Amino acid sequence: MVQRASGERGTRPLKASHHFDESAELRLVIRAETFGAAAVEAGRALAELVEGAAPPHGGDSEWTEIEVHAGDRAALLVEWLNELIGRAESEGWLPGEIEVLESSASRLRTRVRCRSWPSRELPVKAATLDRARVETVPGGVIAEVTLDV
Amino acid sequence: MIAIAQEYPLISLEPWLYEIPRSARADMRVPARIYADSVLREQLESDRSLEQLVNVATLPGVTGFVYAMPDVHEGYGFPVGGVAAMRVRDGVISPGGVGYDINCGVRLLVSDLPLDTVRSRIEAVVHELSRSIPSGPGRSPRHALDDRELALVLGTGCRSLVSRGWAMEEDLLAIEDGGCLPGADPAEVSRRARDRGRDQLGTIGSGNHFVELQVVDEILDPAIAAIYGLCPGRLTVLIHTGSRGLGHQVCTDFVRELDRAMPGMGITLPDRQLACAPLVSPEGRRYLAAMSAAANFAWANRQTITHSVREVFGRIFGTEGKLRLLYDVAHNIAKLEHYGGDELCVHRKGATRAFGPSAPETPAAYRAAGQPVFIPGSMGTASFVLAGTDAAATRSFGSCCHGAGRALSRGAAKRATTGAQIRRELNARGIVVRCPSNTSLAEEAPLAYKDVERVVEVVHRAGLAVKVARLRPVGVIKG
Repeated sequence: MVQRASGERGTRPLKASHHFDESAELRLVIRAETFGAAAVEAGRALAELVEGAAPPHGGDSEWTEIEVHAGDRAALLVEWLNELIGRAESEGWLPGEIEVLESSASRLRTRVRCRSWPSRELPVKAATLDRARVETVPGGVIAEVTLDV
Repeated sequence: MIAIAQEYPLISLEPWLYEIPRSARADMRVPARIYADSVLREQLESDRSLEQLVNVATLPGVTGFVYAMPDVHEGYGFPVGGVAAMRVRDGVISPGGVGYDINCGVRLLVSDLPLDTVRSRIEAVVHELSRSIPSGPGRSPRHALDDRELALVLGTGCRSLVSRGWAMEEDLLAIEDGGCLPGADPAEVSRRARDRGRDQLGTIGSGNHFVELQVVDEILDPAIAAIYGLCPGRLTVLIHTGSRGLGHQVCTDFVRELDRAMPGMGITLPDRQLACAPLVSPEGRRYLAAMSAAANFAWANRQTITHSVREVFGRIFGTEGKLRLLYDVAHNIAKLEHYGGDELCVHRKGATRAFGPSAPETPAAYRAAGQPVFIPGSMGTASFVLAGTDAAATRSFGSCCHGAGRALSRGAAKRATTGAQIRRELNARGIVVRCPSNTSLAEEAPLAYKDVERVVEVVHRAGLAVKVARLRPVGVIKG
């Protein structure tokens, strides 16, 4: 079967999803329709790592804008995750709702509502550039990031 | 010659030493040497550690050989158990060559308490230690530092704790660099990093970090053991932790910065996680200053935990519970050292400095023996005290292994066993365990690690360090 590139007629958009590949270290694998949707899914994955398989949806804070920059999409996704990890550990909150305001190959602007996380306990300490990749595939993107645990 | 998984030629030089010649890949600047016996060599085929070592051999200014210690395993960019030295005048410094947990390290506290006379109180000691020393990820509000106090810790390391009564002058003599790397600049540590670390001083953290009560199980070199003051049957405390969230953030900050700066510096790398900058560049100097500050934080962290342990021992054993710091070693760090008249920046990631009797850095009390080196085994297995050798200077830039080394991923370990099973097995062997997470226990199960006895034997036979004593755990506090 020949699959068509994203945006072509007949291509089914990828439903946002993620899983963790623990064959080596902790590797986050994300499928989503767009890079922005992948960034949202990365935030969900982080919350899942901290709060368990079904983290509650929604936040109790005001909306906060977060903007990150990088030279390419893989580094941008790593930067986004590191921003969330750093804020979680230093400020004691987890992302609850994420909306993408702007997304390009080098810039991601979001707004986030957070849930308080007083224990600030995170089982991951950093997202790394080690084999980080974001690839366009038929129907969307696949992203992979190795997390330091 | 053996072709390994990555298809690099692996030439056997000695029964415990292999070499990948410089000709193996066009971009290698130096050959790679791997300390391993035949069994450990076979385990190398299960991950990307040798490919990563070859990548390290391409870094600008790398000199001599790049080395893999017998506990080497795959890391992020730079293998864990890797050693590489770069010339200061034309070489680079790489945050990935230090690792995320800057100055992760180990220290050993030695008591005069015979295990036989205090065995009935071990459970109480473990319980009290677990109450006194926060473990697991996250923080404790007990030692939250304000900006001024944190800057003092970052700038002066363990010395900043003397006035608080958490460190003694004699402790400083028993820590690499006196517990303070020169050139540390707190101003180069980001606000985010300081906020992550300000209330993590005195905490163990998660992963493979721990505080263990151990007994001196066997003396392997009586002369050096006497110099170190190690006696069979005596209770000791081994502390393994690092710079916590602060160090991770420093690494994250500078990997990002150098990854962006490299194109402008004309540096191209096979793996961007090795992002680096010339040591003489402003970016390289800034990372060295920030890394040194994070290293100072790690030493202060282990010292603060030491203070907590001493308080617990004092409460339970009174004056007989005195604990002497034998030594404190870093195993994730980059240091400026001199070899053959050259000033080099030696990156040790998952590798321990192992200086011999002749090195001026070896403390005066240990000049007849070489510096102490501590090799923790996997949870519940033996740990080792070694002594550095003068020969290591020419064989590994004065370095040896740092632990058993992972053989299975965390995921594979969790599939192979359960935390509850590990807890039962340790209890059955008389080891008291305090760990809030069964998942953490499973991830750190002994089956996930290489055989520490084999790793240490290779180091000993290769002349990188001398076996001095074997320690056996009797109590484990884990994050």
